[in-house]
Amino acid sequence: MDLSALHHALAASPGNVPLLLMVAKLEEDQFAIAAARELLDRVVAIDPQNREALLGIARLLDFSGEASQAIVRLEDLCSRDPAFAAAWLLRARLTLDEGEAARARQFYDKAVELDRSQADDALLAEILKSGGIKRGVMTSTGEIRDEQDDDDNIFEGLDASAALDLGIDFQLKSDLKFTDVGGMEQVKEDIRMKIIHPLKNPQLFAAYGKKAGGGVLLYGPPGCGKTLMAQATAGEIDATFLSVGLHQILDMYIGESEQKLHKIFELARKSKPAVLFFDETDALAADRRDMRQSAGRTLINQFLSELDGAQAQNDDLLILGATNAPWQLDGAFLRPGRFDRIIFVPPPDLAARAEIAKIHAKGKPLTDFDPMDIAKRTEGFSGADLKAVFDQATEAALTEAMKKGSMVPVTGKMLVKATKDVKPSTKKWFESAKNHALYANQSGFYDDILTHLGLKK
Amino acid sequence: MNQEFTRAQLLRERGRHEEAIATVLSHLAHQPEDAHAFIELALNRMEVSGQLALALQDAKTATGLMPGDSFPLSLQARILVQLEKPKEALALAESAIALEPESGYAWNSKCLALIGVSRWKEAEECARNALMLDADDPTASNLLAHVLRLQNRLDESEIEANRRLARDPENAFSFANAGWAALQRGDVKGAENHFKESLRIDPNMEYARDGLKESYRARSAFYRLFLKWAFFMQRFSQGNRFAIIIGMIIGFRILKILAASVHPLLVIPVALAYYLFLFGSWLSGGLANFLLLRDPVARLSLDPAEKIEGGVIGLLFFGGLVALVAGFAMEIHPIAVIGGVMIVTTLPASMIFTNPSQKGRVVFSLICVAVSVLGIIMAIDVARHPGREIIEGQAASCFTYLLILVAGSSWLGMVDALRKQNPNHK
Repeated sequence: MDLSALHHALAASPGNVPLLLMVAKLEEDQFAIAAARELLDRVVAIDPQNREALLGIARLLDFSGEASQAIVRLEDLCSRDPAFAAAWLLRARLTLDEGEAARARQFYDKAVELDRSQADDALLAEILKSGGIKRGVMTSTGEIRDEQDDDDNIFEGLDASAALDLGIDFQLKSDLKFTDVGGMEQVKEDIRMKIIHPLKNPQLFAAYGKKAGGGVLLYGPPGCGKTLMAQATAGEIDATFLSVGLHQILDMYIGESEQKLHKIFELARKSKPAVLFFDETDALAADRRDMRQSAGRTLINQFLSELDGAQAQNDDLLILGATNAPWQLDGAFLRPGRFDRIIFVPPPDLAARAEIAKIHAKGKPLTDFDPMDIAKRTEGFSGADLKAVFDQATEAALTEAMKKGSMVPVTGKMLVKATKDVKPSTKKWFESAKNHALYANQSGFYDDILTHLGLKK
Repeated sequence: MNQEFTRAQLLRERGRHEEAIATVLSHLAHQPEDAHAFIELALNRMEVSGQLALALQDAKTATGLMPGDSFPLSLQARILVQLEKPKEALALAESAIALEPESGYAWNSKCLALIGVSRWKEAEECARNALMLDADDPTASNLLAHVLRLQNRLDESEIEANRRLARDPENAFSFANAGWAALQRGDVKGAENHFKESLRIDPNMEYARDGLKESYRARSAFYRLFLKWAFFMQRFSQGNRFAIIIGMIIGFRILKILAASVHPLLVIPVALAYYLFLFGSWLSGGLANFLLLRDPVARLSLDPAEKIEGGVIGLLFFGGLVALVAGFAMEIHPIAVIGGVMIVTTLPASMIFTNPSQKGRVVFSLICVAVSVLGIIMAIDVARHPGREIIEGQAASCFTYLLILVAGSSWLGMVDALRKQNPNHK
């Protein structure tokens, strides 16, 4: 990016905080420490609580050899904003430099727990090399402390750390609720009927011979909120949320898989009421006929056995699966007692799209922005497609700002143009899904797709 | 083996080709000379729309890194077949066989290349060679059934398909082969069942979906005639097919002259047969689609373009027929003219909606517009001069241009660039 053009834009818009931060980062990348500091100070003058600027200042202090001052500032920042993962990570790095590996490990674990993307294998290796072996453990009050010497039973009160060990995402309680997810009323209602009511009224359901918990499969086109709905479901039933992603699943095929899968289930059972969420379930529950390696078949058999609760009870444990390719699932997973409740998550409806548009609009200089208008123009768009719309419009505004040398807001017109340029990615999915719904729907599994496509009343 | 590479293989097995490509690329960043990674990349890119040219490039790189191995050469051959370059593919498949005569994959690749150049007998030999190496090779077995059918050896094809199904009753390709053999035999219901079974196993199989559509269309006797013609023609090479068409056109002309010399009225049935043949081969698809639109189940098998084509061709043809007959019966000649023009417009219109070539769609749309404009001018001219012969004055010259355009569109329809998708975009 042309730094001089940005300075030009900054001259025209001296109070633009995002721009100030951007230019400061670029200056920092070029080791222009003084210039970067001056810009960050300007941000703090405008917004004294701006955490990005405060973090940047700490980083610059460290660059200038004033590590202890940086640590003090980070302590302050972490106590003021304990959910700021990047600050914890920098604090871990600086603490390690100070020779306090154990404390560095605590800060590192806190950062990763808050935000998995902060994981830095090289830093962790350095910490471990320097003696920071004990994991930092999140307590129920949100405090972190050193793990006690109870490694022989990793599930005793150390759920977060055990989850970290297994490489899965873990939340003691999901913060999301249905009210945080805009629109999608039909899906919410389906989830209430098929998941929440049975869990909240187990006796009533038991009277009808039905059990609470069990497996529910969410399927639909990619980027349409299946993961978000799973999290919100956990929030609604006030349950622990454990999420296993595609890469952890694939790693199971490579490493000591069955044992790891069993540990994941054990951890979930230990934390119940819990929602154990398998994203991209088709990767784990793939059709065994397509498997060339017997290792894969064994893992699938293990998964089936865990779902059946053959080795332990699955009461109060809800196993949620999400997939874009339900047709790749082994038929055995859809039998009663396993993923026997199926919920179709279609692309966001009008209300949901308006809500998503509002989320993407946050923090952007917008004029003439009408979320409902954008929602109306984006029928069939996934959440990811809507993000692409905002990205494209922002790029257009930025290009114009570069040309003019002054701040140009993202206009409604730019957004409308972007809605025409971005094509809905769900179309391809529905083409494939339609074939399955038309030709392989003997059990009525894909009826919701046919209804959504208007092919069935 | 490198973990990232294993992960990419797992992703491919699960049909996640885009993610697999990203993973292989990341692996290649660390090991840029890994030939197997390039093969993996090519295998994934073959499955992603629009990436065949890149897949070929990857297979070439793999060949360069392991020149003594037959697999990358065979892989290149398969990609070239998909890129509709069967001659180049054949040469590479032969090189692969020379390197490793016991590679079933190489023999199958040669078989595919030979099918691409319509050399059925040799393709059959290749499939049999692959089966000699491994009697349980599903690809070879399916190719053999396919190539036997193309030679109209339907019983043998069916036996091979059934042999495969006895070994693997969940083989979608074998069911599709059995479906096509049944269709070629004229057993429309049997074909429909086979294709449905094939699609139950693999709903995205194009070969079976096309078959099911054809079997639905074949419910109409008119379309069955067209299918018989198409199955008859497929036995011959490209050159021979062209020679047969030219021969038929010349034959019709000679027959017309002979008929005229016997009795002038005899020309009419000969001309009718000729135009039925000429129009039939162009319009059969669109008219069959129109008939399918009335069937609530069968119409679901049509894609949106085929539905539009069915609607437009049906409207132009049957609407035109009604207008033509009504116009002459009630002596409202402008209506008859419009009816006639509607009927002839079906010919260029049949090459618009389902034409994979964008250039073709534009050209035939323009011809349609031109034919319609000429038709309107004709109708206005006829309306202005009641009592005059229909084809006279301005109407006559319009009629001449109109015939040139319609005849021209039937010739343009044989130009590959105007009728086929650019294989690089597949």
